[in-house]
Amino acid sequence: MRRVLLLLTLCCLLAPASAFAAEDPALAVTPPAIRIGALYDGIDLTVTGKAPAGAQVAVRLSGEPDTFHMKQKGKALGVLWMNLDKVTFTGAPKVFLIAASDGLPEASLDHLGIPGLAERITAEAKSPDKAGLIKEFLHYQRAEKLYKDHAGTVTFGPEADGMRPFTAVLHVPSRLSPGAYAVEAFAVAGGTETALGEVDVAASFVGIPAFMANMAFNHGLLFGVLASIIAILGGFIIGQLCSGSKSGAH
Amino acid sequence: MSIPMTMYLPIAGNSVNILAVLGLGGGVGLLSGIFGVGGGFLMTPLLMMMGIPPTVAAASDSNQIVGASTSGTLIHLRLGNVDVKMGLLLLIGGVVGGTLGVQLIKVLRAMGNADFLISITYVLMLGSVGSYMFIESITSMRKAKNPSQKPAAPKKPSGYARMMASLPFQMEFPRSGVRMSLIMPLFLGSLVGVLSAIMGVGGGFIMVPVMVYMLRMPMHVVVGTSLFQVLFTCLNVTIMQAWTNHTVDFVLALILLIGSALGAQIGARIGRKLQGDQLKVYLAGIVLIVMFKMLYELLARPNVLLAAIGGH
Repeated sequence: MRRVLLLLTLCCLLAPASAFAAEDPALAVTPPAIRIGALYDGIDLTVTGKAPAGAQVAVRLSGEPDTFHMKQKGKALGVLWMNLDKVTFTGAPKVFLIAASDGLPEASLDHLGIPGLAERITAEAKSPDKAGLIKEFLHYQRAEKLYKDHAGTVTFGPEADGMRPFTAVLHVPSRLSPGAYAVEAFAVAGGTETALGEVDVAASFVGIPAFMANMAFNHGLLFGVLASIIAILGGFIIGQLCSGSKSGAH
Repeated sequence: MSIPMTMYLPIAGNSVNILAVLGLGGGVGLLSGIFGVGGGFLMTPLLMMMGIPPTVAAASDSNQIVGASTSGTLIHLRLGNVDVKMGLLLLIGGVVGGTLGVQLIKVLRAMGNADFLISITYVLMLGSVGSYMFIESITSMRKAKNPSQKPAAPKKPSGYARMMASLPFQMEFPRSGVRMSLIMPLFLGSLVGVLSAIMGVGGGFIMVPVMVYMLRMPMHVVVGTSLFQVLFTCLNVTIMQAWTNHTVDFVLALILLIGSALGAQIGARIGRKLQGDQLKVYLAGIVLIVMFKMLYELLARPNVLLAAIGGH
């Protein structure tokens, strides 16, 4: 009986270790989730993995394909620039960031990066120039810093057993909205692109932003009343502290 | 260990530098204190330049004005400079106008034209106010140089005065020492309320000339009554914007309020040392520079030919 108990105990102790060894991830992301707190100002995601020796590496972060309803700017009355026709883009992620090792061929960077993304986006608009609109959409997202070609760095470690470890650092902007994102890595050798793995990364509001967003978007009336009361109290306290002044912005 | 200087604003969907926002509030408050006029009409375009979406900038600025006008109203109430009767009529008009303005913004946001409307309204209002102040202060400075000019002869009542007298529902306003139809303050209050909602300003810089030139109220009562009316108008706009459009960021408003209150105190001390007409010319210059910047953006080809509908 004692032997059986000892065997069971050993099995229990060894089980997590063997499970860990079996899961040995091809790709690891640190931190594993993006927490948008009160002091969030963008974040650097560190992606580590292994690629075949001699291969170049590209790492990208993208959101799920989404639909964007936008307005095309044009001249009103022949003088003033304003929003005119409606345009709908489908199949475009909210965020698309890519980082590549220095030796990655330009053609592969185009295929894996933003130019390649254009092929997956469709545009619905009055204008017949759909390709031009998609190009403008990519330009818009670049200007918003939500799409970026060189969004970080990829460096390699020493080669061992025909493999090279790599570390990529992706600079995620502060404009990132809560949602599900995927981090993917690709090895490129001899013009062939091979997927090395994919890891899901969730971004969510925490702390004060979570509370504020919940209040603002789900309890708008209460939020407005509270914001007004706080402003009145703030104004009253500041007025008392700076007593004697008649000034007040209006 | 460094002190974090950035703060994430979930309503604006972006992070801002706290010192930059405090500085912005302080700068506008400083101008407000020096020149004795409101800073709301400068705050919203400057927030937009900092990367805050226009609709969030306008709504949060309204929230900030609620706090800024609270202390001013209390002081003027104690001094007896508030015509409560006139203020309430302007307020009723302001609430109606503000509500209509918020609905208008909602429709325009859905159409994708809200930002354009805010920009064009700003250009028109900044252009009008800046030009008026510039001309008025230059004229005043010339008159000060030539004090020997004869006073103008008394004139017949103008068409506007006859129209005012002919309107129904006439009533006395003893604090202001005027008699007029209640339709006038209701109508003018509504007009300012609509502009207030669209532009995210308290309307003081529109309301003061309206009360002086159109409602013929004495200046000392105008300032107190304007603050009283602006406080409640912005209160309504803040609640409506938060409820309908979810665009009020009260953390942003609070930081701005702290900055503007401190800036206004310093500005008031500087202002006392400077001459009035020169100050008006300087302020008119600032207002016109902001106006030309926004006009340029409407006339020059945008860098990006697409705009998002809505914002959240």
